[in-house]
Amino acid sequence: MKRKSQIEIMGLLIIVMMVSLLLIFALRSWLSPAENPSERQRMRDIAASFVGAMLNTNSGCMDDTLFSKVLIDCARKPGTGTNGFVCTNGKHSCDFAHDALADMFNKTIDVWKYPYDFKVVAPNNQKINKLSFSSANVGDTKSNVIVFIQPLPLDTSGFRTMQIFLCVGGKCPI
Amino acid sequence: MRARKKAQLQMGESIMVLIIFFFLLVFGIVFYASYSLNQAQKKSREHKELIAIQIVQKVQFLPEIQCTIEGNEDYNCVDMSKLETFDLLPEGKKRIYETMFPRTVIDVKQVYPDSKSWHIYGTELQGNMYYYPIPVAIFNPVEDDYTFGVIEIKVYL
Repeated sequence: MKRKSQIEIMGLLIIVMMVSLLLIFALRSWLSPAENPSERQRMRDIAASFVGAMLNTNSGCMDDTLFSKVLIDCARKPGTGTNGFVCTNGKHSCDFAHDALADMFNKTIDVWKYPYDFKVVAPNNQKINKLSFSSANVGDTKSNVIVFIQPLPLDTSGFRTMQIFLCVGGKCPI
Repeated sequence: MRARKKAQLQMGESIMVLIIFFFLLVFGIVFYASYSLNQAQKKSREHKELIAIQIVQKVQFLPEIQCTIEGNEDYNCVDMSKLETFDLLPEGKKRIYETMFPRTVIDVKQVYPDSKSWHIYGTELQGNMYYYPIPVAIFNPVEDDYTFGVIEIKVYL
């Protein structure tokens, strides 16, 4: 009698173990976030290409002034409002860059509805508020974010640099 | 009488065990089938998207539209004069791109400082579309000027 009950308990244990294994397997496959490598590739391409193309664009601030030069000028003396460049429309470099960047974002990443966060950091980790943009749908997520960083030298020595951050998919982790 | 009742109880027990066993078996089969179906659909979608990404990369490095500065290819830049020439090509001449860009529509749009667009290749189709925008600089060799634009690639899967 005792032996029979022992066998029954063993059988029950095996069934419980099998059901548990099945449930763990099922939960793991249901709960794991669906990774989409092509979507990440697309966000990476957008971030890198956006910054690369923007820096190579003629700003329109003055004749033959690339956008990179306007941003560098803004980052040299951020916040003072009296930067070196005064563009042909009378705006200082930071204000000019702000308007131009807002226009570019409005017509591209905003239209594609990707969450993004754009920041420009001058030396001494000084964030330039005028050049900070983020989409309305960016939220607070900082994981699974594509972060593209483009450093730009502020002088010929190359010791002072500014950094351009474009994060697609969430907020920049800075 | 008592032996009969015991036999009935044992039979009930066996039936319950069988019911639970078949319930688990059916649950397992259904779960495995749906899991396999999901995996197959995911693989199929990934495969199609991979083909789309290959097409996108071909477009990004297409010499027919890419900038060349003194013989060197300039990545992430398209040449406006090449775009305008490509746009003028008759559809018959564009047939050579059918194998390179199957079920694909390629447009280039200038967004800053002003808006302008060029249709490069393909016609709009029905069905699932994979949209891949790539920001680029657009080089105007006549005015030696760079503007900001987007290559829009739509691949119908």
